[in-house]
Amino acid sequence: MMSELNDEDQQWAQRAGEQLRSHEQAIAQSTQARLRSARGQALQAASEPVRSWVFWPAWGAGGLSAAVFAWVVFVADPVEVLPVMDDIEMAAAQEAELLEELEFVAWMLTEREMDDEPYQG
Amino acid sequence: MANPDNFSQFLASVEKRAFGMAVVSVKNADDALDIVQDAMFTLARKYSEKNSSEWAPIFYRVLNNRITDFHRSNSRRAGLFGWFGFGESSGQDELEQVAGPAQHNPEFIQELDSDTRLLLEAVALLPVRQQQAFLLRAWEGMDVKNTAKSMNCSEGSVKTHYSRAVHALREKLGEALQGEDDE
Repeated sequence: MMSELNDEDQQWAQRAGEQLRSHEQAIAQSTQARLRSARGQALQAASEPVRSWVFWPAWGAGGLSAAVFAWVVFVADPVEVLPVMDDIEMAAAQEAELLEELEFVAWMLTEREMDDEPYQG
Repeated sequence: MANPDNFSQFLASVEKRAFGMAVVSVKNADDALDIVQDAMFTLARKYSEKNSSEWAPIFYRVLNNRITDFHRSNSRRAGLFGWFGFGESSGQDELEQVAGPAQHNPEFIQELDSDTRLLLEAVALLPVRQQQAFLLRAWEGMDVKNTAKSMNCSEGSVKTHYSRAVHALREKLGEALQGEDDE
């Protein structure tokens, strides 16, 4: 493969790289200690398996709650949530409706009779 | 994990260079340490089972991604608070242009001899992608193929970034490093 640099540039870059490599130990001792510590923690993390099953109960509870919520909000029939009336209540309600209708009919007849009467002004 | 000893040796072999690369780019020892630690954790957690020959490009790829993320979040912050109204620029193009100001001199650089310090300070002024190409090719000694994997770009881009970096550095420091040959 053709090099990206000419010979002169390549030699210069090689020298620069050697210079940098020869001074790697110039990092402060405290920083080197922190790097060692970071390495140790990374190795420990790598040796520990990811125990995803630990989270299963939490996932299960959360999922169940979400499912119940979704069912209540989107699926459940709101009519069923209304109070169920027994027969007597139902009959009373129907009678009340009938009475209201009778009252309306009576009022309408009265109005008509008044309209039919001649004007006595 | 494939082999804990091999993995530990690998991390030990790259940690100082990785820290050096991070600190040159982000210019803060604490941030650089966080970035290296994060890269180590990611490699250990997700990729330690991979073939050991793949560890280096993967590790440096993670490291470079973290460095890139660091610069992106910094430039976003600067964009929001510093240059309000300047406009959002696209990530990659922005990184091509980022030249690190030598605002913090981390202890790593302070403890070096003058030539190496000058070299690293000059590298720190390069755009981030050129820094990465130069440090991986020249310092880490990685070939073009693995450098491209590490930088998540084409081999052609690596060559361009590396070539530009070396030319810029030679222009700035050529005399200093040339002097070593004369001795």
